[in-house]
Order: sequence, then C-alpha cells, then structure tokens
Amino acid sequence: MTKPPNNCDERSIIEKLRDPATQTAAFSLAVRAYSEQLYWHIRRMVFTHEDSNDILQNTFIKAWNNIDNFRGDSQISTWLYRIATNETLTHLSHKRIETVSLNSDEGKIAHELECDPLFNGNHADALLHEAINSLPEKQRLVFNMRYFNDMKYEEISQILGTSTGALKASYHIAAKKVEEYITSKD
Amino acid sequence: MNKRNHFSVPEGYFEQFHNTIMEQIERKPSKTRPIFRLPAQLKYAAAISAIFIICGALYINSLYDRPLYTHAEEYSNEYIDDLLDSYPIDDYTFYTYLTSNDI
Repeated sequence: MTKPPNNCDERSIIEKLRDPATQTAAFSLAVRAYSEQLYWHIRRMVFTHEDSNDILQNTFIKAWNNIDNFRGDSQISTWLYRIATNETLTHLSHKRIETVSLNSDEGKIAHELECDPLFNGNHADALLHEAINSLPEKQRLVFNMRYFNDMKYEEISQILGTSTGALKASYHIAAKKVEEYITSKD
Repeated sequence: MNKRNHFSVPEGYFEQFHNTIMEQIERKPSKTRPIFRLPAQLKYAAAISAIFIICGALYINSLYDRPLYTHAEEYSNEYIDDLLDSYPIDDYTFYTYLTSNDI
C-alpha cells in the first residue's frame, strides 16, 4: 500500500499544485499518494471493483478540473475524500433509482460478495458487509471510516462537515445496528 | 470476522490507474481557467448590491400595484343612497344603466 504523505509532503504538493509549471507533476504525486486509500473508501460503499474504478476516475478528473479552486485551506487528502464521498453518494443515489427498493439487498449482498473473485473474506465477513450495507448511507460512511480506516472523528468531521459529537453518536448507533443485524442472522 | 481488508484488486491495478488518469489529464487539459477573475471582496459587494437593487425594485413595483381605492366597505348604504340622490340622474336612467350590457 502506498504510504500517504506526511504534513510536510502535503504542503510541498499543495505549493507545486499552485504553480502551473509543476502542477501536472504534483497532481501525479497526489494520484500516487491517495488513489489507494480513496479506492478502499469507495469500494466499501459500492462493493464492486468496476464501480469503484469508475468513481475513483471521476474523483481525480473532477479534482483536476477544479484544481484552481483548491485554496489549500484544508489538507489535500480531506479535499479528495470530500470529492470521492460526493461521487460515491451520487453513484449510490442513481443506483437506488434503478433498483426497486433497498430491502431487496437483504440476504443478497453476502451471497454476491462470496461469489466475487475479488472478495477474500469468509461468510462472516460477507455478512458484516451486508449488515453495514443495511445502514443509512451517512452512517455507513461514518462506520467504514472509523471501523476500517481507523480515522479520527476530527478527520471525519472535516470530510463530512458534521460535528464530532454527532459522528460519535452516529458511529455508536451504527455499531449497535450492525451487531443486531448479525445476531439476527445467526 | 476481522477488520482486515476483505477486498482485493486486479494485479497492478493502482499503477495502471495512475497511468490512465495522467494520460486523461494530459490529453485533455480542459481545466476551466477563467480569463478574468473577480477578487472575493468584489464578489461579495456585487452580491449585496444586487440584493439591494432587487429589494428596491420590488418595493417600487409594490407601490404601483397597490389598489387606488380599498375602503369601500367603510361606507354605509345610507351614505351611498344619499350620494346617488344628490346626482342629477333619475331612477329610470340609473336602473337602465345598471341593466345595460355595457357594465
């Protein structure tokens, strides 16, 4: 896994992004540094590699097209996470319109994951993802970012624009729901 | 069940992804660079001025739209009868006028 840059590297990338002469090279560094963590962030929400790849591409293309609007007030990773999250939620809302109802996913996700050659977990792992998928989208995001990415509430707060108090409450509610879902399936 | 990553990607995916993105942005450097960009303070000033202009226009418009006479209910029937009595017009002409198609 590519190691994300430290604060010093981040500042250097931001400075280079502002200079038209070094912009493309700096963007290349940003793609290398952040594509992997953003990919996993997206993949845990949409599950399939194909959809994750499309959303990740859209994320970086949008970032490039709006690079002049990035003022450097926040970290570049926070900015990219925001774009990736918005792109993911847009994708999910389009997908929701195409499917009949969310309830139709119950009992289906785990089975689909177990059949996916790019899923390495066992049945219990697949059931965990199915339980997470049953949560409202914002709760899923918070749960994934906290549980799998070990992100601090402050970082999540900057990305989602929600207070840390609300995030803590959301995470605990989500964890309880996930536990109940898995217990009900045992 | 554990917290490890349960998903995987095709071999060499991230390297290939980097190349794909860089090819796309180098092929189409279509970033929307504005030719002329207003400073932020000027943008706020323009927005506030626009709000004042719109509010002013709505106020002036409301003055002209206001009905000229809106207090008809304040006058009693007796007052109107007295008023009609004082006009140089007889009842027949008045009732003919009321029943004509021109009203």
